[in-house]
Amino acid sequence: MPANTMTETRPNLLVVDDVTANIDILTEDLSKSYSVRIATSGANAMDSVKKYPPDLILLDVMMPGLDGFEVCRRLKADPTTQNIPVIFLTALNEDADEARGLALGAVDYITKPFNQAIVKARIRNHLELKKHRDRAEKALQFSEERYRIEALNLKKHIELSQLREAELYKTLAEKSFSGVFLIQDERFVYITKQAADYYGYDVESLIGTKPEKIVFPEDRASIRLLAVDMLKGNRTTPYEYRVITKENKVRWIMETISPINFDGRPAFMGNCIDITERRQREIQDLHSQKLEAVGQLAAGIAHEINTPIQFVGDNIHFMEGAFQDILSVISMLDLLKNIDSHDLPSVRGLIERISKKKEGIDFGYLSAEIPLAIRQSLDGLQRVTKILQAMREFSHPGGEEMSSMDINKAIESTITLSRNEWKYSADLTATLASDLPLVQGYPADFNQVILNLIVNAAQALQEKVEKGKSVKGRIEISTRQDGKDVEICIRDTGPGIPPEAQSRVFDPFFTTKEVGKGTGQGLAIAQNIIVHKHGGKIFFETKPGEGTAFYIRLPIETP
Amino acid sequence: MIVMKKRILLVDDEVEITAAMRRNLEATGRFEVMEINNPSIALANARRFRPDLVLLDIMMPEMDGGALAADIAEDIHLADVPIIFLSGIISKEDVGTSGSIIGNQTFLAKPVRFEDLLACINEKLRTA
Repeated sequence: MPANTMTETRPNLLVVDDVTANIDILTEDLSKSYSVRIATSGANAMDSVKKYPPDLILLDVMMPGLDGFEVCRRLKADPTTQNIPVIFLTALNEDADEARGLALGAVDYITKPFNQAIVKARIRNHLELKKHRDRAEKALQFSEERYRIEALNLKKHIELSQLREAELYKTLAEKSFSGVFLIQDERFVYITKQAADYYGYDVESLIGTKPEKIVFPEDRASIRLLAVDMLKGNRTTPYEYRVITKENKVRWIMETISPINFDGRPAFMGNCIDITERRQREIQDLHSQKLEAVGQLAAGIAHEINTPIQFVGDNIHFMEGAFQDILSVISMLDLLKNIDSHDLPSVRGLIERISKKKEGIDFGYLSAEIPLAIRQSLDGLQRVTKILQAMREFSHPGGEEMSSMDINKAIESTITLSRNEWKYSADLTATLASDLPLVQGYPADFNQVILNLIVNAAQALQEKVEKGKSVKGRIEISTRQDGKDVEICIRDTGPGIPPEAQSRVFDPFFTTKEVGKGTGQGLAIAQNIIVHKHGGKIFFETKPGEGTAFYIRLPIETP
Repeated sequence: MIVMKKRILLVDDEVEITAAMRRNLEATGRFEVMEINNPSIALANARRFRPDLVLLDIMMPEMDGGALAADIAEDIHLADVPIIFLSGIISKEDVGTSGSIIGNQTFLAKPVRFEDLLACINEKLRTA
């Protein structure tokens, strides 16, 4: 019905009054603009509102049963109806009632008798207001809905990004060049494939096992100490140790470890890489440096042996001649046999001849020189023997195994062998503690370190010698026991290490020497041998113009 | 007949080397020998001793043989004195047994047999 559809677009009014006559005129007029329904009691009004919520209610206050106030109270108490504007109609004209009605949520008060124009104006205003309010409400509802959807989207987004983040971290961990692992309750709880590969196992076989199991037995005690040091924050550089792979192969691992919280409980997170190749290269470097040093020493040793060979040879040559001379005198004594002892003139004559002969060969000279020549020759042979012994000591066999080292003896051997390296630029003194305990270590490697330091000191002094002619420097080598360490000090009176070079002296390939005088490997290798192979320390004190002292400290008991 | 002995100055930081060479040179009865083991006092002693020939070690602490030879060559009274260098850092392959002339200087490689040394000394004294 076109009329109906028309009316439905018009605002709905509900007029509530028990005496319809009171409002007849009013409703008649309102029907022109609004769709008007009427209820004649409070109860009716409630029903009507429930069935067809109107846009506005004109509500009489004074009614039997549910009065206007009560109807209003109920309407306002119900969320579905509370937004319908209520205008009280009353014959009363008392402030108290008006206040009560407004307090209940009514929007307006119209007193009888009505002024049609005012009533209509107010109805229009309130409907307009409601329309705006409704629109605002709807807008609010709409935005709330939007908000809810957006919140949902956000939640989804967060969940997604958390997933992605987890995925990202997992990828970072799994694809990282360094192996990553977690240890909790002393067992692997997580380990990346990379880490497992480095260790030489598969992931599954490591999860739940104790890390110690795969560590090279000899390294177990020391790695524990190193790891504890690192967790305490005492150590910031990664530690290195060996593992035994599933295939029973030894690999070198470099590792760091740090405390974290995992699953609400303390755990350790670790990073590791396989440095086996680097280690092997270092061993080769060490080996080639050793060969280089031996080559350098060989020339010096040849010279050192040359000297006694020269004078022992000369002395023997001298004694050969002297022996011939002496023999010529002694052989004359045989003539005495054939002489008649009573023929005194003949005897005297022969003695005279022998004495002459003896004088001719300057027997006094020979008897002074021959013992000296013998003594010096024996000393010369002793010198060669000492050099040969030192050579044997220096390239001590069995370099792969730790053995008891006599530090003093090692130093003495190295001093002997390197004599030709330092004797032109330095006077060398060794003050070696006689009660020095033996130290567990690698003798050949240790000798290498001492040699490097002596050669360095000698070369430092050479710089001085070449500048101011004929000023020999000093190298002082001393040993002593200091608590649980043996300390070796090699001090020179050279020009000192320049400040800008001090922090780099242990860097591989760093050198301040001229081309041909050093590869820059000596101190790097010395540090590697002392720190990594012996668990010791190497450091230096230097003063420009006054000299340098290198200190080595080796633990008597190896960790 | 009194033959004037030739004076030979031996300079080497190794005491035993100069002592052994001196013995052999003296045993020939032809030489008067002075041993110097500290090269820094060699020049002053050479001026006093006036050697006919100097046997000089090259590698010595404080002052090497080359520097001393240069000092000798610059000295008015010693400039013409022949020098034979002895060195352990050159080899017989480099110089041969009878010595080798390098830049007008004669070099002998240690260890040198006395006979070779004597031959070289005789040659030097003959041509000086």
